[in-house]
Amino acid sequence: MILSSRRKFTSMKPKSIFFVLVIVLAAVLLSGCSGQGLNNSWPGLASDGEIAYLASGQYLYAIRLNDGREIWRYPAKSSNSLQFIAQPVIAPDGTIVIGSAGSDHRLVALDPSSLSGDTVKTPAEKWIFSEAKSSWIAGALILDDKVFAPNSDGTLYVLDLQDGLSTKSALQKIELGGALWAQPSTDGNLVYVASVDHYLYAIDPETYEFAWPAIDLGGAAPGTPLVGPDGNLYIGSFASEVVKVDPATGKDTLLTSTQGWVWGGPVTDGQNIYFGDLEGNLFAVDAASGNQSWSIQPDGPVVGSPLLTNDVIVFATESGSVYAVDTDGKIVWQREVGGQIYTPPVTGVDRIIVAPLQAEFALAVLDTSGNQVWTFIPEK
Amino acid sequence: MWDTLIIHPFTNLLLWIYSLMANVPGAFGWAIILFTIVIRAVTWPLNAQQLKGAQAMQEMQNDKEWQAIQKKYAKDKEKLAQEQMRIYKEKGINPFSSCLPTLIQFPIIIGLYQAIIRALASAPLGLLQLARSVYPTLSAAALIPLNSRFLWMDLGQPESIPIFGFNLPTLALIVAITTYIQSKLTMPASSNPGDQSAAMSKTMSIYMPLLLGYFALTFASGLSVYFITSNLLGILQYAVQGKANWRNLLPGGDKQAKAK
Repeated sequence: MILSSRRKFTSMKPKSIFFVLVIVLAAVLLSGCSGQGLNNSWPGLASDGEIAYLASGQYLYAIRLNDGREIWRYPAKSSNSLQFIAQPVIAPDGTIVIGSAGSDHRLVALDPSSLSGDTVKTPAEKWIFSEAKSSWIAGALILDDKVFAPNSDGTLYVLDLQDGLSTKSALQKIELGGALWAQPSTDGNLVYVASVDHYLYAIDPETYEFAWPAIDLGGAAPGTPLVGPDGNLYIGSFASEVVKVDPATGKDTLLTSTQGWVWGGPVTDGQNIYFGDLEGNLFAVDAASGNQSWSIQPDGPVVGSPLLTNDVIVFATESGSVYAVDTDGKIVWQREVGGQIYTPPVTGVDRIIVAPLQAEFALAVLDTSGNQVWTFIPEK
Repeated sequence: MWDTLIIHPFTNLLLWIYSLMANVPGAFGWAIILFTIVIRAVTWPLNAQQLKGAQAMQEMQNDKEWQAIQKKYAKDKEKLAQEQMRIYKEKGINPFSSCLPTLIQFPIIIGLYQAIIRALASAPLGLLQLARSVYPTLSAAALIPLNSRFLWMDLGQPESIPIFGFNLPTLALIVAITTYIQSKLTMPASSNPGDQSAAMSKTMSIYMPLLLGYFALTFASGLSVYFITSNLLGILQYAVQGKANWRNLLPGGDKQAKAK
């Protein structure tokens, strides 16, 4: 009996091993790809001129711009349930508002003024909002005493900044539909929210009612709507076009068509609007006429919004380059930073800050001539 | 290579099916079900070959000559292996024909899982990858984002139903049960106590439901929809071919079958 069992085992072994290996391989491959794409994205970045705030992985970092030193990070200890990719938002009183894209869907306000001394610390949590059902991918909009926070669950949550509560409840939950990946914008009268569900919404910040019926953009709109110099709205979409919307009536007209999908929101210098597309173009279009002033083809797709600073348009490409272009479309300088840059660049005092993905560093700071000043690698 | 040969075609096939029924509630779930039917249809000859191969192996296990050889060379494994190969050759049996469909299933499962995650694109980087995966013939801008809701599920997330404060993983249970039923139905009856393939089938009928149940518990529920549809189609295929061994589902059914 024992001999029979042993013989059976011995003769089955190669086939058993084969099956076990196949199963283990499948489990490993499936496990390996399970995290991909769930909450995976590029970092969020903001600056108040002296400090850069980088939302990357399990932390939000505050980094001093003049020397690249980390001042603080949040949370104190990493947590698998927290993941930060949204753009940090800086309130007028210095409070930092950031949401998590991890399984813990918290929106938290941090109080950096609670810190003292020179050692790396963690700011106190001023308040936490935990009612959202999904990830925070976009930054919030702070308008007067209210926070308008767009969530991937399709709801725009409105919070009261001044109620003094440490655990917030929503003043209003405005269900829009589709994932909200774009920071809202405002002209002071209305709040404008673009959604991946193809629609642009305009909401009265006092009554929370829609100012006009949502506009179908023909494709997903993950970029922030621009309030233009003429008071009109400008928004691009995956329909490969940029439309102009009259905020008084909600009437939309085609401004221009592009070769590829438009991801990042446009920016303006008062005359032209500037935006990139996924086919690797940067466009300058006259806001009034819709005529294309110029376009250039950098070394890769332009995902993030451009940045206007010191009379140049600074933008980054998926190929890891940063460009500065003058308002006539002439390249002033180009710098290969490395990795892939999807996050819109931000500016400090005579500094341009970019946050590449899959580079050797998490942050690179350039001077206004495109020279790299320092890079930031988070300490473990 | 993997992206070009597996992920992109799978993603586009899913999107194409989805585009045909974009106005149907739960379109992505139906797209996965239709996708599974297509995959099953394509691999039907392989599955039929697997059944044929398993049956031939079974007949060999019950063959008097083979049983005599097993007894004769019980202590000489080398000679036993030589004789086994001789009989395989004489009877035209390919010992790997029963493994091939199983092997093909795994790249499909992994590819489908990645295609589901990519198609649903729950974060910006995923959406960017999806943009790169879509063939120009599909009007991706109009299709994206896909609606991930199907019945009570979010197909991009693991499934469970809260019951009395406990999250019951309904799909994982259905996956485990249908996998068990399918493997039991195809388990051949054997009168040979030294039948290695029968012992292997029995082992697999226990471990495979547990493994696939674990996958269903852990990964996106769209994968569970694939498992369940595939299992039901497999059961249907065996039944249509008259190969389903329904007695195996009864307690002690396999012993009754052996006795016959």
